[in-house]
Amino acid sequence: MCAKIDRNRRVYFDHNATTYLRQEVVDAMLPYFRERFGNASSLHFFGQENRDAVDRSRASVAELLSAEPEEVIFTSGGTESDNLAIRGVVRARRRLSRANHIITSDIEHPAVLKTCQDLEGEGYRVSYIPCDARGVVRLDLIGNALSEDTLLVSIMLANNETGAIQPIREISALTRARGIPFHTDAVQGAGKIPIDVDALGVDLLSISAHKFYGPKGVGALYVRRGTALEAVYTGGSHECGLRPGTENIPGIVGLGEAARITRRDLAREMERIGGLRDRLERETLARIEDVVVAGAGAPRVPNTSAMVVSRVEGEAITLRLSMLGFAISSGSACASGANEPSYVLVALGLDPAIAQGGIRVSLGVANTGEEIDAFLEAFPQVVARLRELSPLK
Amino acid sequence: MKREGVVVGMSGGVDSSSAAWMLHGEGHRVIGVTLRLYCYARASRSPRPCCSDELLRRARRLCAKLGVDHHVIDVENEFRERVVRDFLREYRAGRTPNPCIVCNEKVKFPALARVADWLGCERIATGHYARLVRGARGAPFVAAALDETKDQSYFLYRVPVKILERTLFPLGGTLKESVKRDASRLGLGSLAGRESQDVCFIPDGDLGSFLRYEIGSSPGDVVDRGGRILGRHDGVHFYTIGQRRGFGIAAGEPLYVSAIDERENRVVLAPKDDVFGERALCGRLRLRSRDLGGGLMAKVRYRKPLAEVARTELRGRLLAVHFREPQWAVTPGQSLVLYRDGVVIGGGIIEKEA
Repeated sequence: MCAKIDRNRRVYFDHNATTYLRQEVVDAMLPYFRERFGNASSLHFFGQENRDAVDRSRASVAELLSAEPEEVIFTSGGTESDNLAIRGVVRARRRLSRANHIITSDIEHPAVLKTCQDLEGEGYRVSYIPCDARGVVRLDLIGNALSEDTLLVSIMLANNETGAIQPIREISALTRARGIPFHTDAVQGAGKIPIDVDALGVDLLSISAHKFYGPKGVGALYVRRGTALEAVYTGGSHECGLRPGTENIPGIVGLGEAARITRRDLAREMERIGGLRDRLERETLARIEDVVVAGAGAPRVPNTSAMVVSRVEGEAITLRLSMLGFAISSGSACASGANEPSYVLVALGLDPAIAQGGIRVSLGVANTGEEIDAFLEAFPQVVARLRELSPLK
Repeated sequence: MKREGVVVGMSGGVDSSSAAWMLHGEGHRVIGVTLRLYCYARASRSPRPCCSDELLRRARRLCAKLGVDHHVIDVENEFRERVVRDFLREYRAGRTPNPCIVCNEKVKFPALARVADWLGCERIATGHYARLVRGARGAPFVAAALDETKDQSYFLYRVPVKILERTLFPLGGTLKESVKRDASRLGLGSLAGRESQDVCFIPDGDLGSFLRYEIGSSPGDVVDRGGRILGRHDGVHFYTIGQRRGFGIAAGEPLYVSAIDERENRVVLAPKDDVFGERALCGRLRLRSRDLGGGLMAKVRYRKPLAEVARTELRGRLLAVHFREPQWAVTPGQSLVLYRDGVVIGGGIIEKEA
């Protein structure tokens, strides 16, 4: 038996990679490509009307995060926001003190991990805090790692592979007591769980529009008032000089609109999507042997499911499901036993050989119960077929 | 269950593109797969861009044009572990390896077969110029291509039989010229100067710099056969048998590298006549026939003509091959491939000339 190849089927279950734009977002952006093309720095009315649009977007993003508009800096996306936060704090603190220690975790996105590794090359000391078996960063070890030399802590809000929500409030209680700036990469949190920068107690927070139905190429960094931050490159005085360069007005407008819709729909959508995700996991575990849900014991964002299927490679499952019209992602971009499995799944303590079988399903607003049903029919067949071929018995 | 579809290994070059195009035209359901192997430019942080990205884009473009799926599969770790590491180990030992042969055996064909399994495809194909023929019991054998000037069967003698069973070589019965004609008609024109690289992971072709970067230098003596010191060398890995250039040593007659003694860290020079070998001793054997008697031909290096074999003798796990005429530069590390009537019946890696 084999699931039918349906050339017309296009089921998208990879929303943690990127999302489509909502129609309202496209509609809001379109005028800014044509009649409202002005440079927001210009004094004339072409510039003025765009300055207003940027301000409205800034207010909308601020409201999404329960922040003040002047605490929002627009960037080109999550990677730039993370770089600006980490390098910007490091540069600013360098002038103030000799502190040279950064704390982050093993399970950060490469935008944070590689930036920290790069700073290591410049002489900074970095502690990479491990996580527990649920994929939650070890709070006790963060406490132990904090020292007088610590100049920044950067821990993500929600992990991109497992969806595990990290103990941000508890960490901020530690950093605040010592006056250490705390950054969180919230790229996978925004649009999936409510975010309140005061409740979280963070000083810097990164988001990216294309993870919540906005356009690619635009994001924001929240910077709490009073946080010492320096620009990492030079140019004009845009975004208070922290992010020089002519504003990406259509993108910023799209981000603002996506933030507005998220505020409006988040609670309702996520309850529905969480229900679909839970059913998908429950039924998968019932229909396929030797599958585990990574991070199942942790609080998780409601749309994400990381499953580890033993005796099969995640990339094989992903490719074969792709042929059947289902778009998911494998925990890692590697091909075979000789390659590295997902570093996040390994950080959870999974055997690297087992972690090869990691896949990620991430749901979104347009997914339906029928799509889940179709997937639940195809997925067990795909795994059964691949296990027949598998050398990993 | 019927398994349909052909996974075509597509480097982005003219040959593999043509293979995909031919199979598509014959009505096969083609799925293009580009293997991401290795990039020296990236590994060494060289400012030179890597050629492979441009080739990858070409493969993707062709698949889009044909309306077929295209996947990029990352096999960099396998390639580094199995091919690059072996390549460096051989050079360190004063031998001259052939990485394409190792890659075909251990990385390229197994990866394509694996992806075909994943996708439920029966067959795989590549753009190699070689043919497949069936033996008496139906088993597949690699045979020389119709276009002798392009024949690449030499590189395929180690590909596992289980994989050959499911392989197609669409270009084996074509002529390079006609492939080129079709390709330019299709807009698959060649990338200037980038079609054939000696070693794909050294895109600028500068083998010496690569070896210097990876291995460094370990100076030693250059000697004649009597052990008399003629000069100095910078490391045995910079030399291969038959090489003449680069010594700056004045002698009565032209001298060539006739042997590399890794243990003594010496390069031995000799006059031309002494670089011809009468025998080769091969290890790491892949033999498909027990009959190693008369009528055999041997190829001791790619692009060298076939040499008549006088006789062979199996010595345990080694095979001694005696040539009817002495052969120029029988080089340890290179492969010796045995043919009978144009069919590859085995081969091995040359251990030493004697």
